[in-house]
This record gives sequence, C-alpha cells and structure tokens, in this order.
Amino acid sequence: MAFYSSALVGQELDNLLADDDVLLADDDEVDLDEESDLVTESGGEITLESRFFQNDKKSKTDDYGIGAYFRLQQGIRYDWLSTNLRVAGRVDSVDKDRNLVYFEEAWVQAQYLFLNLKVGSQLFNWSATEAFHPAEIINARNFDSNLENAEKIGTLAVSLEALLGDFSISGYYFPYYQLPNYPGTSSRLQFYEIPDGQALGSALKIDQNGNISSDDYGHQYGGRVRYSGGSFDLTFHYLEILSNIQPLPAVNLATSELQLMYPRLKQAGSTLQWAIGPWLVKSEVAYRHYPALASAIQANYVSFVNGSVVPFTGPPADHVVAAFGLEYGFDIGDGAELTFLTEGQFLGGEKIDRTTAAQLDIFQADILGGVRLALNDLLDRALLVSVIGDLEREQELLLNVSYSQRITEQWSIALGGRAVYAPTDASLKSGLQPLHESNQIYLNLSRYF
Amino acid sequence: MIKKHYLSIAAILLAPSLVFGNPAKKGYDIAVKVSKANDGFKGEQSTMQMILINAYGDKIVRKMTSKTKEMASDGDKSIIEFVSPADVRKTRLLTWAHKKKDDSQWLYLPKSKKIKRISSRSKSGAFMGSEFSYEDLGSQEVEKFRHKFIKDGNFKGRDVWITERVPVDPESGYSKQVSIVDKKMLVALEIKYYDRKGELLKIGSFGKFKKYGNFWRAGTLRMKNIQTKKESVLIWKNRKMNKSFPDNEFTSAKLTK
Repeated sequence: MAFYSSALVGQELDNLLADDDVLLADDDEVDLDEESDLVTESGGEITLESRFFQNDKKSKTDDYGIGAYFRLQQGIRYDWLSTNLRVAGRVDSVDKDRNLVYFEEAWVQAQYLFLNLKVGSQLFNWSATEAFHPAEIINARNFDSNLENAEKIGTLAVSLEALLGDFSISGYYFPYYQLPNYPGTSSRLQFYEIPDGQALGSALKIDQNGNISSDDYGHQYGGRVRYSGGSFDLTFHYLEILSNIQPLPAVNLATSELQLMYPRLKQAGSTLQWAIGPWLVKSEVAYRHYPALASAIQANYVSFVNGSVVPFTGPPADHVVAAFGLEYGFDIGDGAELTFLTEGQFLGGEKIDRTTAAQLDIFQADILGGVRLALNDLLDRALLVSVIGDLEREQELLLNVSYSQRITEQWSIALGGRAVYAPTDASLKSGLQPLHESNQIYLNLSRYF
Repeated sequence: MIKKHYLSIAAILLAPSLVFGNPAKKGYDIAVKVSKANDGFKGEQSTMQMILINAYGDKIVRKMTSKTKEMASDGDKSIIEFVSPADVRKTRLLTWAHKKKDDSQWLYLPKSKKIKRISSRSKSGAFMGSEFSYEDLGSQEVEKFRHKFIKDGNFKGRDVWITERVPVDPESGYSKQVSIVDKKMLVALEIKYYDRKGELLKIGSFGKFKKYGNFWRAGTLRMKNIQTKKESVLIWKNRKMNKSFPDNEFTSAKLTK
C-alpha cells in the first residue's frame, strides 16, 4: 500500500525514468526551460492542532485545546529587488485568548554588489544552540504557542548587511516596540504568576532615557559581525532594544494595577558553531545591562518578591547568560542517524543572587540531555527525547518526547508529550513551578501547499 | 649464489609492476586525468529532479536547483536548494569541498531561518531521505582517496578503466568504491560503493551524457541500494556551464537571502 503519492504521477513519472540507462543523450534533445527575471513564490501550511493536559481540577483553566494554525507566504524576486510576505496565525475553538494573527515577514530587499538592504517586518535567527538562546532577543515571542520554542513575531527593522568574503557586517535599526504575546488566564501554560485578585494592566515601555513611553515607536539599534569559514561560525553582536524577554512585574500605586514593564536593554553577545570531526560544539553568550529607570518610576511602583510587596527596585543588575552545547551524531545504517546532544544554560552576575536568577529566566542553571533519531527515509521519520533538569532546584524537571513523519508529499503529522515536575510550597511561584504537572500530549496534522 | 637468489626474488616481485605499471600510481594518474578534464568549467547551474523509490516501487519526487562554483585553490563550492515538496521548499545545503580536510557544510532551514553546521560524522547520513549521502554530494577531490588501477575493460560498448578508490577519511561511510571510467569522455559511468564491512552497498549508474563545450556531464544518476532494494534517481535539466557567480554567492550569510 502506498502511503504517499507523487505530484508527478503515472506516465509522466515513468517517462522520466524510462531511459535513464541510455548512455548518451540525443544531440538535439533540448532541456532548457525559458528563464524569467521575474520569479514568484507562494505557499504555506495549515495545521490542525489538538492538545490535552492532565486535569488540574481547576474550573478556570482549559485542559484541552482544538485549533488551527496557518502560515501563508508570497514572495516576488526581480533581478536585484525582492519582497516577501509571511503571515501566521492561530484560531482555537476552546481558548479564545489563543486567537492571533501576526506578520512574520513583510519586507522589501535590494541587493547591490556586496550590500543587502532589507526594510520591513523581519525574522532573525542568531541561534547556535538547540534549546537555550541567550542571543535570541530581537523578535518578540508568541508565548502562547509552545513552551520549548515559542513562535517569533516579526520585528519592524531596517537591516543593512555587507558580505565581505568569509565575513559579514550588519547594522540594524528597529523603530517599533514589538511586545510579546502571553498565554491567557485559562491557559495551562501560563508561566507567570498573577496573585489572586490582581488584574494585568497595560504594558509599560521604557525608552532610552529611562522614562515610560506611551509611544509604540522608539529608537532601537544594533550591529553584528559574523565570520563563517573553515570549520566554525563565530558572531559578535551588540543590541540596544526594548527587552521583550524579561519584563518586570510592577504594581502601579495609583491604580493598583499589575503591569509588565519592559525596560531598555543593552546586550553584547557572541555565538559559536564549531564542527570538530563528528562533534558539533555550540555556544551562545550574552552580557546584559539595563540602564537605570527614571526616579519617577521608582516612586510610583512597587513589586512582588516571594509574595511580599517591596519597593520597586527597577531592572536587574548586570548579568551574563551563557549556553553551551555538544552534539555527536553517527550513522546507524540505512541512512539513519542517531544524535546525542547536551546543552546547559547558566545565568549569573556579581549582584544577582540565585533567587533573582530564577526569576529572570526559567532556565537559570539547567542542563539538557537528549537524543534524536532521524531515519532519513521517504517518510522523514524523526524522534526526539529530551530532559531538562535544574542544577540548583533539585525538584525541577522538564521531559519532552516528540515524533514527526510525512504521510504524503503534502501531509505530515507530529505528536508528542511533555511532563513538568516542579513542586513548591512557595506562595508565589517562579521558574518552572507555575507549570508543575501541566503534563500534556498533542497531535498535529499539517497540510503544506 | 645467495645474492643471485635475492636478485631473482626481487625480479619476480617487481616484474608485474614493471610490465603492468604500479596500480596505485596508474589509478592516481587516471583520477588526476579525470579531474583535469573537468578543470575550467568555471561555474555550473541546473535544476534537478530527485525520484525516490522504495523497495515496493512507491515513488516520491523532489525538485531542486543546484549551483556550483569552481575554486582555483581548493574544492568546489555548491548550493542545492529544494523547490518541492512544499514542506522542504527553500531548504538549502551549502558545501565547501576541501581537498585535504573535511568538507564544510551548512543546512539552512527556511521555516525558522536557522543556519546549522553539519558535522563530518553526519555526512554518511542520507540526504533528504534519498540513497545519496551528504558525502556523495560533496566534491570528489582526488586527494580524498587512495587510488588503485584494477584493469581495462568494456562497458556498454565503451572502452573503460576499472579503478578502485579508498576514502582517506576514517569517518567515511564507505570502505571502498569501484569506478568504471570512460577512457574517451573521462567520466565515471558507474560507481560501486562498499560499506564499512566491505559488502556491496550501492551502485551509482550515470547516463544520458551530453557535451557542454569541453565538458561531459551526465543527465541522469541512478543510485540503487543493493541491500535495501531502494533507489534514487537524479535527473538534471536546464544545465548551464561557464556561469559566473559573485564571490559571496556561496557564503552562509547568503543562505538567508
């Protein structure tokens, strides 16, 4: 029984295969198609998603979800000019807070000699590691997607890149404050803790002067140098942007509203991917500095720390986040490949205690161990099993299993499960604790076109 | 008497190479000749269809484009980009072949915009579910093998050399490869690949050769896995030779453009 069918069927395919053992082609056989300077590309995917959680016996949360995810893309290229539009979104029949449509890409690009200029909504991927990404802070995330690798929302940017042999140098300007999207109150994947009786107010954006900005637009910028050659890829970057990764919960004394404050962040960092024989060595390192807030903010807000109201201390002190990884893959026959991977992420600074570190990042001192089996067959079957453990908080574990395969050339399935173990008696949870026993299984069916 | 005895032994041992030539040297010379016949193509561009056939005869078709740039001082640089099926569209594989060390390879994943390095051990893995490994798709530099001439022969009416080559890289997925090389066209017509246990694993058969200027190029390559009965067929179309590509076309930074 054939589980898949080809877009080229029957006679057309047989004709292609019929005379491939002929040694010499006919001299008058023409195999040149007409070329056009104008190239258009379109496509996309629709995924039917289902997820089921272990019952938490809370009426306000949804223990299952049925929805549809879509991504549509249209690109046009003419000589040195190109443009691309990529829109994604989700509709959930159970949790309406998950309904979202957003641009991933909507840009125009011009290429001249060694220069590339791209203007519009863009996706950036500076990652070197698989699970932990200190370098990945430009795009805001849709945290109401999946826990391990939240979907990225496009960021409005002007990017200018110079390709100079094995080096590239890039400059960026980001004029818009793109904020992340968080799970709603009925979601089982809400990883921030809102005290009972507290409402979440509007987001607060901090501009480059340390003041609260009511604008959606502000000056943000960065640069990156990349070397890629030989056996390794090495990058250095500097960014000065609104931090969309470590918002500060603060209570407005005037309104009693809990608001998420997004401070200004200056980050300098580096990434490395290094192939050494059968090993792949990876790292991402970031040094983060938050400029001080204006004094007016300190006076008008308070914050929660371990369930207690304390004066608002503002953004965290300088700290470093470093992720390291190793991959070792080998052929197990018939084209299949088994890969062992391990990664770790550590967050620390001179003035950062371990409690604060745990509040700054879910993975403040964590180790991942995993194995990936890729059969590399017609069905493209792949299985990934990983476990993340916290080195400082003994009872914190995240187990993940996922399997995917193609069904036909247009259809594929993915299924898997996640188990979170992070019990605590603390009144205000941090790290993985809000997700304790948010164990889930999922099944997704995707159609590509 | 003893000296005469040793001289006789030496003569017996050396006689075959004196009569037939040193097989290793002749094998190396043939490989160099084939490589030099390909020098000067500058750059090449084509579209490809890859037909994957499982043991039951089921087929799936993948379409790709390919660009190759000849490098003067080292192996060639190439980019393969997938056009179909839809879920792998715009996936790109960049390869910098090297004469004396592991090839450098990067995989670009368009959905996440991620550029991932491929380690050398992964190169024996199957490329996109086909019978071609990443190793097969790298440039076949002369220096990457130890060569040996086997014999002269005839294949499909053509005068050929039969040679054997052993990969220098201990991480290679193959213990040896036996090639049938056309004496006139200076191209391989068939290659037999032997796995690490020394057993016949795959047979690659080239067909529909066509001459582009001074260069012969195969129009088809059928890779048949003898052990699993699976096959993959590569068919080239729209081939253009003597193409000139900008230097930065084959950089990892360009993969995302």
